[in-house]
Amino acid sequence: MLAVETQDLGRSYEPDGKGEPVRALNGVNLQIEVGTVQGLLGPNGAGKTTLTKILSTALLPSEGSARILGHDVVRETAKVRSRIGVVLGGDRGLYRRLSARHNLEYWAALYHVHPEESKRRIPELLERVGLTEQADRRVDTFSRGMKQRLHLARGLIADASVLLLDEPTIGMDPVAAREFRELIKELRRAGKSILLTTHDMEEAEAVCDSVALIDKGRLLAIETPERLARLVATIERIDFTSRDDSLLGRVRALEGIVAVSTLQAEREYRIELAHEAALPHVLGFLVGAGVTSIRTSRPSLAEVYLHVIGNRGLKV
Amino acid sequence: MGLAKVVQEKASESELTVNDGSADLELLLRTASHGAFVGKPRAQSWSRSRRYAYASLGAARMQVRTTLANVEDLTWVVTEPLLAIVAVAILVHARRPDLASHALSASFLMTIGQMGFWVGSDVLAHERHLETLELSVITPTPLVIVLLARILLISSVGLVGLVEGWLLIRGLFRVPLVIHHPWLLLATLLATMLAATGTSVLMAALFSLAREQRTLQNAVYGPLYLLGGVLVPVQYLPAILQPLSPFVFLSWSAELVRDSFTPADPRQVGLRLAAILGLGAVAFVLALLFIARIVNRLRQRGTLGLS
Amino acid sequence: MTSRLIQSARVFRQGLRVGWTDFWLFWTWRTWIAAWLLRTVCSAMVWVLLGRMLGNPQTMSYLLIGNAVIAGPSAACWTIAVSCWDRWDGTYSLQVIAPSGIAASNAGRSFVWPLNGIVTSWVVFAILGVGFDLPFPPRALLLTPGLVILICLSSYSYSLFVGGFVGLAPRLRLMINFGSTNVLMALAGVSVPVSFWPRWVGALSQVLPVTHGLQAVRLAFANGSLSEIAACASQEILVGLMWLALSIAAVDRLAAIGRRDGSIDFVG
Repeated sequence: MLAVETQDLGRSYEPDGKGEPVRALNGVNLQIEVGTVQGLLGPNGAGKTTLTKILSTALLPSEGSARILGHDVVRETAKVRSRIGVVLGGDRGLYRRLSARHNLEYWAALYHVHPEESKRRIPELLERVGLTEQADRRVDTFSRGMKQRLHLARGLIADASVLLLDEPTIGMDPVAAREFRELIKELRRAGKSILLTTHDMEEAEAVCDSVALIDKGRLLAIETPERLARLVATIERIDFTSRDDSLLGRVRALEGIVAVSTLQAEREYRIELAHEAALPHVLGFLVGAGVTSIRTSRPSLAEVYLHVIGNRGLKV
Repeated sequence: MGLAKVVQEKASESELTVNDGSADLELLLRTASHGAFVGKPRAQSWSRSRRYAYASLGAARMQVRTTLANVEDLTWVVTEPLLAIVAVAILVHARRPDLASHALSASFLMTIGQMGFWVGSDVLAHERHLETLELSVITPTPLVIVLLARILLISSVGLVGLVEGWLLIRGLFRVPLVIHHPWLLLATLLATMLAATGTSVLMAALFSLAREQRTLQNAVYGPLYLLGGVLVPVQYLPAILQPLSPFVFLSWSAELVRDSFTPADPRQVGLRLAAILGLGAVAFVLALLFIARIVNRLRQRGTLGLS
Repeated sequence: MTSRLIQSARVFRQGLRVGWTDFWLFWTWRTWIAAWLLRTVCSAMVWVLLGRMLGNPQTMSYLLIGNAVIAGPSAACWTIAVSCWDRWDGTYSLQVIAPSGIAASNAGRSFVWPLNGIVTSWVVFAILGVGFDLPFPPRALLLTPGLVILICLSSYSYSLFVGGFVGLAPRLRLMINFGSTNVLMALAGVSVPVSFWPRWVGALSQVLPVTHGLQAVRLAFANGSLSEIAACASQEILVGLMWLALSIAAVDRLAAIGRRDGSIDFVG
């Protein structure tokens, strides 16, 4: 049994009820195993939120099907709703005039969380997201990051088996984001199945068992982060720092070198190798030339993203 | 200890109910094997009606907190009863203080009306603005249950209009207001509250998801109070408007409130109370149909939320 | 001094443009008639029918004239609620720190409401007057439109003053808006003569807008002398100018309070 399964899932919109329909999702086939974390990476407008909304039953698909723990999101809506927790990004979606605690009490009631369970769970969740001391403050006094944390607590209130997290770390500072990653790992250990949409490559690499790349409503690739990295380069690269301007020319002349490029930091360079066998030879050369700052690396998810989806600047 | 025994112990500890078998049992086994067992909340084993009742209480409690935190919502509780002062001043100046019950019925009905028709019908629109509507729709509790609980609470606040009106009339003008039929008054208040709730849920459904919500709200309550005879009995309306009044529950409520303060025995009480409840029920049934249709249509078009 | 007035007039005009746009974004002619006007006519009719119920044609006429007139200030009093909009838009702070200051732009933005009130009152007079066979003597026909303009402008001045303070507690804006209208309905001779109330209440009525202007309207309908009508109208003008002066004096003080206590935000 899969936690989430979509088959040829599609969704079209008619902008303002007229004109050509826009395909927000197109033939999406996604499978998420129970107890795993599936990342979904893509630019703005790629279809990430549309997919999340369909799985959460907030939106109906135009074609295809989607199931949560074997229950169809269109025909078995009630069963799906009692099995999912949803976290949306941004700072809306909370009752601003209520306190954090009162917000959670309300959602707990709507999710039929037993009163005794609520009493135990709410303080635990507030503690886990670092809002214990702000529990009785009104949400409209919260910073954006605090609201985001409360969103997270809200999504976990019903202790659902499947979690749909739509850009949940927007607005979080790096420390809170790191804590969030630890929480995701805990949830995975607890057997939760998680769909995580994000722009944060580091986050996706750190917590996802599998990452799907999506653009213009289509899934482009679904792989582990390591395998995705091989789309860009199968062989490790060598990054080094040197103040010797003549060194670059000599490096380029070595056998087994594909390219030497300059990185963003001053005097930092990257060597792309043609084959694994060239690695020790090039490393030895650099050490012999007096280079002391050397490291090898695989392509990051960010590079994969840019390689697959393209660098479109600020264009949506 | 064996995995099966762990599962068995954990299940009995948290009164776990496995509904469908396969998917949940697999989850159960997986979570048990990871050693970080998380059981289902026990309320899942409650009957549906009990779950909905529990959710309604939660929604009502939330509305109390929201209304108290949002002083704007209480505007009508302050301003509408002031009109009782205007009405009684006119009556006293005309040497007809015996008609003070008209002022009281106006104070009560306009307060409960504004709470329901303005504040209550705003609930859905407000949810959209906060982007909580989407989140409310995808919970296991039907949206209509949540709306009903919240708007019932809001309408009930309107009962204060009767008390305020009575205090203002007695306090400022020393006009006697004797309740000759207290049970009739109580029954009328309750029936009116329920009818106002049903009507407000319908308004919430019709108006709040429209672009011109505020203009529609403005359009509705003026004619409702006129046709409802909240201050002046409907027989004084222009003849062309009188046939419309029986379809407005306020007209029945206004007469019964005034009859409560009249010594003479009221006639056809049962029928008139049934008219109030019936009109409220019709409004609520229409609301159910509209809400289901609207939510479905919005899920089709994808404009349920603002994210 | 002249150039300052010209500058202020320019700023006022720009503010009016913003307010005009606000208004027509919310209303169309269709919705203004079907919602705003319908509601106002129905509300006024409730009181006129109270007069009918009392069986006294003079009471009915009294209530009709009073409620047709008050329809104007009821709209003008929306200036109180509108005074908070700049804070929510985040433009209040920018206006405070602009060289022109805030008074003229604030007044301009809300000026569409007394304009709305003038037209509303004229139309309500026409509808209810015809509907309830109110006799319109020539003096009333000639002078009432102008007196309504005067009453709406003095109500607007009063609302500017009150609205300035409401900016300190924006959540009370609707309460104060409608409360102000209801106070005018009770005390300004709309529903009962000012003499009905205790003397101290009557004294308060003398400094409220509507009181003197409405009396002028009633004199016009009763074929009162032009000098009496002019005297009442002059008092209404004085009351309006008094509230206008107070509102101009208050607006800078309020901005100063905001700068001290940090309540002027750059976001709404």
